[in-house]
Amino acid sequence: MLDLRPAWRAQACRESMGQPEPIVRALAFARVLREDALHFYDGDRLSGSHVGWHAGALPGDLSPAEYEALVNEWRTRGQRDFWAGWDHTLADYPKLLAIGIGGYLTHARATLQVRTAPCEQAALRGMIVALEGFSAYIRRWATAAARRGMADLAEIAQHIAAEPPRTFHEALQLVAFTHLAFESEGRYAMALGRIDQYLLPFYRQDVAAGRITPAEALDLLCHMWVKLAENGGVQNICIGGLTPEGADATNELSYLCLEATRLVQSPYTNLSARFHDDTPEAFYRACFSVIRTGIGFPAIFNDHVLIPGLVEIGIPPAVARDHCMVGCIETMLAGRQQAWSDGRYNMALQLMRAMDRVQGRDDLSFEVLQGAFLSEMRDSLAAYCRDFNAYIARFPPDLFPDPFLSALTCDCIERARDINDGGAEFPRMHGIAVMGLGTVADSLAAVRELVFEQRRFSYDELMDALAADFQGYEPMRQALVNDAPKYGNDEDAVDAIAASLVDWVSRECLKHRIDGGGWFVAAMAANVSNIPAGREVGATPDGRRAYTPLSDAASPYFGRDTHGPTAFLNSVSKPDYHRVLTGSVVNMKFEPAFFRGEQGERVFLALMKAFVRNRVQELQFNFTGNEVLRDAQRDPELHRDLVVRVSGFSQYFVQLSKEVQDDVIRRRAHGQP
Amino acid sequence: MTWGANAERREKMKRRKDNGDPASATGLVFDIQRFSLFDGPGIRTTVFLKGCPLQCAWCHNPEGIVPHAELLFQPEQCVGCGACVAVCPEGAHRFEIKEEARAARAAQDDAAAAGQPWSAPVGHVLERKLCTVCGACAPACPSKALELCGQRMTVGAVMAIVLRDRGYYMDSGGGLTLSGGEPLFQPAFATALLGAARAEGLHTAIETSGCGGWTDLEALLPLTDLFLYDVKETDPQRHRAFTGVPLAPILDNLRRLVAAGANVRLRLPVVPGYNDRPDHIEAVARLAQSLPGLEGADLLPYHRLGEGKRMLLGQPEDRAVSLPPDTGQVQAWKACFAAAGLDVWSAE
Repeated sequence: MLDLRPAWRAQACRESMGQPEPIVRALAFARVLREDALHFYDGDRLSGSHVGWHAGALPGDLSPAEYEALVNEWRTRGQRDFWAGWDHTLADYPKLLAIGIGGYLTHARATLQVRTAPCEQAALRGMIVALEGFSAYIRRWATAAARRGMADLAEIAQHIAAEPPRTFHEALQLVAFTHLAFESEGRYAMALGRIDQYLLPFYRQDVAAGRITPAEALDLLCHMWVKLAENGGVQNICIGGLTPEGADATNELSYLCLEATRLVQSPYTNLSARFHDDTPEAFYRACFSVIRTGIGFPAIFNDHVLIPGLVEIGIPPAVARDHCMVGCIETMLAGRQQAWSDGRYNMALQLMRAMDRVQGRDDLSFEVLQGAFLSEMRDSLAAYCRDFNAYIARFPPDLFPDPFLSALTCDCIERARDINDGGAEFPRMHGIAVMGLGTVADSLAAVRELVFEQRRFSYDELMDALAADFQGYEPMRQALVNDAPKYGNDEDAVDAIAASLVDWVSRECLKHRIDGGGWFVAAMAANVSNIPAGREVGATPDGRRAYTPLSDAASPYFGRDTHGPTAFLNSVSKPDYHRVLTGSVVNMKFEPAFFRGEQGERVFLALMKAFVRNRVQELQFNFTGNEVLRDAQRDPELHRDLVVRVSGFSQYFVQLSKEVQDDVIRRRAHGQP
Repeated sequence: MTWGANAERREKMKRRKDNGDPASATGLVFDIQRFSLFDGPGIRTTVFLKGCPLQCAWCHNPEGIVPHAELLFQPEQCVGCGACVAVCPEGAHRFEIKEEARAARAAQDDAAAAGQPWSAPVGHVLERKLCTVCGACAPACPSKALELCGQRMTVGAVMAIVLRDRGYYMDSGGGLTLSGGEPLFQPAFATALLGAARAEGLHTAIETSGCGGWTDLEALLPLTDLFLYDVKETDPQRHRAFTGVPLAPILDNLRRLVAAGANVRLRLPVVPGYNDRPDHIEAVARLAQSLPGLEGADLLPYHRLGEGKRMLLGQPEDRAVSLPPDTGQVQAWKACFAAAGLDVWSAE
């Protein structure tokens, strides 16, 4: 399939040559919406699809050479990217639903009369062109729906093209259109934010007036989830948590969103559930009923960690309580902030640099190593921030404005400024994803315990073994693995190291500022980047072999947590994550059989309550499939933590004989516990 | 092993039994398992006490039988460092490295560097006859090829571990379970542990074969919220043959417990070739019906975990014990108990 959008945008740019950049880009945006072929699926209860901007062949009036030239023109003009601030964000949906597109246009046109500086005029005109293009797009959908005989969809689109929505269905449709318009610009990982909050007034009015039943609302949400599945990627939806005033925000829509996720089973609606001390028990149970399907959603978040962190950097409490997530787990002030971004920072690499640096010192001690490590980190974090600022300087706001997103972001119209030029109510955050927490904590603990305290071998011997990737040093490697405490086992000696690493690095990141405003904040969420990061790092003193993956995100190193989920959860409860403002990811793996029946629910709820009470920031639950068990048979050392159910009890998988392991795999392949 | 030797061993055990003061009680523990989900309600910690008067052919915790520490040896974990040889006062460890084994070991080194599991055929021989289980080699072994099974612990030391998960017990209705081995084999320690858990407000359970003195069981009554009580075999002769002890006192204890108002669930191992017989299933159902207020029964299908553990203890298996029952067999048991009006749970 050919993507026609770059060609349409380039045509619009040619036609508007000489106009200010915000207007040029707004016209390019509007052109795509004007040309979209508008595809419906049979049975659609919401309009919108991105099928219509792709084609099997070029239109008759466009030659392949001309298409190529147009695509190149658009590419040359360039566009913001992830680091520069582009995707992983969302509109100010509550306001959009309250005043409608027409409300924004009225406000923008009025502001245009009073903000007369040329750059203000250009920014506002760009936003107006984008909003008008968006409004015209919705009218096109209305006409197309009417032509297909879908009177209700036609009427809804006709109304919300300018007016604020009146019903749940209209409100949901306006959100769907807005999200689709962002998608049309090629943005990835756009979020929906707190959908159970901003749709709630519409839902309650409709229910009170007898216009909708819960089942009908659920059906519409399922349609929305399916629309999102067409986009693919990671589209975050946030439910539960606290209201801006600090009361429990969990409501009937929160439950319907969970149910939609359970029914649709799409991997693209990344559901985030916020918890706090007063979250109702029923919400725990409802979340569990979705998680137990094995889909991995919702990820669960702790309001008592993220909100104080946001308040500490100066976000007003009411705004902080209204945060949502974008992308996988990233914290966002919805519709009030520049787009979010992050990058990878390899903490394990800094440790190995420090270990090299101090070798041979006369006064060598654990404290000397620690000091060298922190100074490596201080310098490399400063370098990271310098590099980031140098990078974003390549995207000046006057050449790379973002009129549509600006129009729907709080304060851009009022300030008559682009979102990337100080228009947004709050500055941006850039997450520095610190990688290798478990690897580094375990390594430091092993060096302290075995080299400096027990003196089982000398520092130089250790360095030789690391350089040789333990070849010829297997007994030493075994001692490093088995005789030093490991993060994830509720052992204070090493958990305290992890806790001080989290504390130190999250404070250090916050010392740096983004040029043009904004914070560098720590993240402990590596996605799968712990694998490439591991390729940069030779053997480490935790017994990890050279160039193999680092520990994942904020989780302990694979297979080293051998004391079960409660010890694991106690360990990850010890660091204070409130300054890890981007968010952290702790992955827990479970045998599915643990969560069967009433006993399973009781167990799971207890783990979740401990998570909230112990102020862990984020948790996600994964279930181990048979492919994991086969991996464990091949490589037991990385799977020492893997617990399976054998008959009436559970046991570490790698400790079972091959015969019993095979029994377990066979049994599970047949769907038995 | 002959039954005669077994009787002699039991006699020896009796002499070693702890006697008296719960405050200073210590006991021999061979495992503490946190996040235990199948030994009573909620999230639990199961403490395994070492020593058992029974000798069940199908035992899945053979390391829990002998009431003193034992050395577990997994030759395939040995990396051939020789640390054990250096520390062993009895000369029980030796290496018989032949030339071809040396070559194989070098090849393993390369494979290990490439991330493969390390399993060199290093020819590590443990002469168990010489070993006094002094415990010197296990901490010296870097790869856990040698591990000491059985540790003398105080009630306080056990409770310090148990209480790390207090919040989880409170939220899930869980607590402490004593298992083994046979907890009744260390009655003072068992009583002290359950008493300490009770004082902390935890739910308490005990998993028992019922083979013990009634006075010991009676002492546990007020401290135990749930008894998980084994009924392994209902035919007296077979019971003695399979487990080494008579059936009558066990059933006697069971009836007295139920009569005293204890909360009891039966635990029923399903072991093909031993007790997987209609007459046994029916006898269990009749027994259950004769016990008013019985909470229910749990079916425990046989699995081969114990066979591997015997290898670690240096008891090479010379008899095929059993095979895990298939789902149909377990369902047949279940149906029979359900028909008898029993609340029955099974892993299958």
